[in-house]
This record gives sequence, C-alpha cells and structure tokens, in this order.
Amino acid sequence: MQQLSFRAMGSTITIIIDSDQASARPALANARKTFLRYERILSRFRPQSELSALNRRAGRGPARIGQTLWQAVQHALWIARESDGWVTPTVGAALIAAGYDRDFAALSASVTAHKPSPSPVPDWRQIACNPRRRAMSLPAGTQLDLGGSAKGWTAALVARRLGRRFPALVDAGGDIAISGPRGDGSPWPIEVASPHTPDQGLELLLIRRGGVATSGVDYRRWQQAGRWRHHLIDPYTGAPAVTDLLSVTVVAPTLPLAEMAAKTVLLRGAENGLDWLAARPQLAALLVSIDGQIIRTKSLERYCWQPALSAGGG
Amino acid sequence: MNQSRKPARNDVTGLKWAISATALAVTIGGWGWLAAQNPPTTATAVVEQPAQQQVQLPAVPTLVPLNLPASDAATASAPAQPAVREVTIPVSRPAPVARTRSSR
Repeated sequence: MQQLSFRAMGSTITIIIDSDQASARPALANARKTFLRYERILSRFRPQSELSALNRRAGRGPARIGQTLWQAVQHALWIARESDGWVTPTVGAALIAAGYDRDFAALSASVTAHKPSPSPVPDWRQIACNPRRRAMSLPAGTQLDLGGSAKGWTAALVARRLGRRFPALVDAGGDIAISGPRGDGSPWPIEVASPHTPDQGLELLLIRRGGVATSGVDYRRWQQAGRWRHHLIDPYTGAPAVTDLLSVTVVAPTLPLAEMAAKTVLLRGAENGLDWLAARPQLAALLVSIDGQIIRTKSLERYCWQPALSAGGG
Repeated sequence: MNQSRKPARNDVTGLKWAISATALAVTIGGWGWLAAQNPPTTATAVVEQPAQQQVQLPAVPTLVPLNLPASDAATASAPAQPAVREVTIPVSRPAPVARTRSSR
C-alpha cells in the first residue's frame, strides 16, 4: 500500500493506493497537483483565484470563467438543489460577517472584531449561468464560498481517476472518497472519530465504495465578541446555525452526496434531520448530539464492523 | 416353296416343364451347398442365469399427504435431529486506514 499526505484546501489530504506497483507513485504526485491546482482556482482566501475575481464582479453582469470554476459552481448549485437550499454556495458574505474572513489556520489564533450579521443569505437560484458562453452572473452583494462542496468534489474526482487503475481512497480532511474494494476484495476499514474525544472512535465502518463525510461544529470555531462562532451558516438567518448536533457522519454512494447530507442534517438539527434522512434510504448516518447522545440510523448497520461472527454447525 | 414347321403345342409345354424342374433342382441344391459352407456361429460369452431366487422386496412406505397434519406414528418414527452447536469465530478488529471527522 502506498500513500501521500499534504496540505491543501485548508485541510490535510491523504491519498492511499492499495498497490505496490511503481506506477502508483507518479499517480499520487499527479493527484496532489490536482488538489493544489484546484485550490488556486477555487479558494476565496486567495485574491488571485478565479473565484475571488468572480466575487469581485458581483452585480456587474456576466463574467466568463474557466472550466474548473464553472464545473465547481455547477456542482455547488446541484448541492443546493439536493439539500433544498440548506447547503448553498452564497454564504460567502455571511461567513465573513461571522468572522471567517481568512484561512482557518490564521483565524484560530485571533479573536475577530464583531461585525453585524447579514440577513438571510442570497438565493442561489438568482445566479445566472450561460453554459454556451460559460459565463456566470452574480447578483449584487452575493459572494460565493465553495468550502462546503469543492473539497469533496475534488476528492471524488481524484478517487474516480485513480480508481481506473488502482484501488484508491482519498481522505480530504476527514471526508473520504473510495473508488472500490481493496486489492484483495475486502472493504476499507474507516473509523468514525468521537467529536467529544477525538482520539477515540465511535464506530468502525467497512466500506467498499462511495463516500463517508462528517460535518461538525466541534473544530472549525472561533470567538467573536466573546461568543463562539462556527462555519456552518444557517441560510435562513445568515448566522452560524443553532443546532442540537455536534457532528453528523453520513455514508453515501458518493462523497459529494455524503458531504451534502452531513451538513444538511447538522443544520436542520436531530429531529428534522432524521426526518430528512428517512426519505433517503441510500444514506446511512451517525449523529452525535451536543449532550453526548449517539443516534444511528438502521441503514448504518450494514457498514458497521461486528466484534464476533457466529455460525451454526454440527 | 418350303414352309417351316411350327413345333407342336405338346412339345413346348414339355420343354417348359423341363426347364422349371431343372431350375428348382439347382436352387435347392444351391441352398444345400451354401448351408454346408456357412455353419451357424456359436456364442463367445455364456451367461449363466442364476438359479431362480426368491426376491424379497421392501415394504412400500406409507405416504403422508402434505396437506394433512403428520400422524403421531409418522412423527414417532422420524429420525432424531442432530443437536446444533453454536460456534463463535472470533474476528480481530481490523486497523482503520482512515478516520472520518469534521474537517481538519
């Protein structure tokens, strides 16, 4: 097995290829280049990025954009549609207002000044897209943030490419894309970390393909005017969501779907989130509430490692 | 002028009889000769038929209709089922290759 770890998109990325072939090394290196290239294009923290340039043109008509940014925004709009608007890319201004105005590594060391919270975030459906010209028009005041979707989208893309040649797993800061079973046909064992005690595991999942993602308010948080703030914005208030959940882990047929679902459930809270999940049987989830309660959906059982296998015999 | 004399009817008939008799004799004689040349073959394997024995056939089992509850006799005669012994095969916990947690 070969792996490569590096920092990109504000997270530690680990790529694992279950193969001893020499050709795996350059494949790992190319995967790293993909992450770094996409970060240069899609990061709102880089003034020279295409996304930052698009954000600066908000309210000034359509702007032609490159293929990568176009696909990333289309993906983010799909996420918004699938989540009924709960996970939307138009939270950029709200995040800045909440204090998340720089890379998180620089943010955690400082206490940001209080800024007034914006009203409900702009409607993602107001973004105008011209596929023929590959041009996009943002309404005035709309700032896009792709932090909720670009990382998972890139990880899934990289896993899919690698998976044509090797069994591969791409771990993008805890959101994991799996191309297929390991070389011996076995599933990949993946631990769900406890948000209360990160060194301990809540569950060991065995996954052959698809994605698993965890959304939480336990890590990306900071203080603003003496109050703890986090990065998951409630689109209806424009402020960090008030939720009874500390973290949500979802297993899905694809990582983008898992990522979207984990955020949606956390934003909606335990009761509404479980109702939302009940209508989507292809999703399996583990919820951890702020008071320490752990809730597993029935569909998660098929992924959970069992400590002993019992068999009848004579 | 000379006229050919037609043979008498009696002469023709007698000739026909002579020809037929001769043909029959040759045929019968030929069969005899052929029989002498090709004697009947004898069997190379001899199967000895066992002496006639009295064959004891097992009693035909009584068939129990499927749509009727089994009778006590049928249940009593059913062979005992072997005891099922539960075997627990311990499986060691695989080491995780990755951990999922909120974005780091």
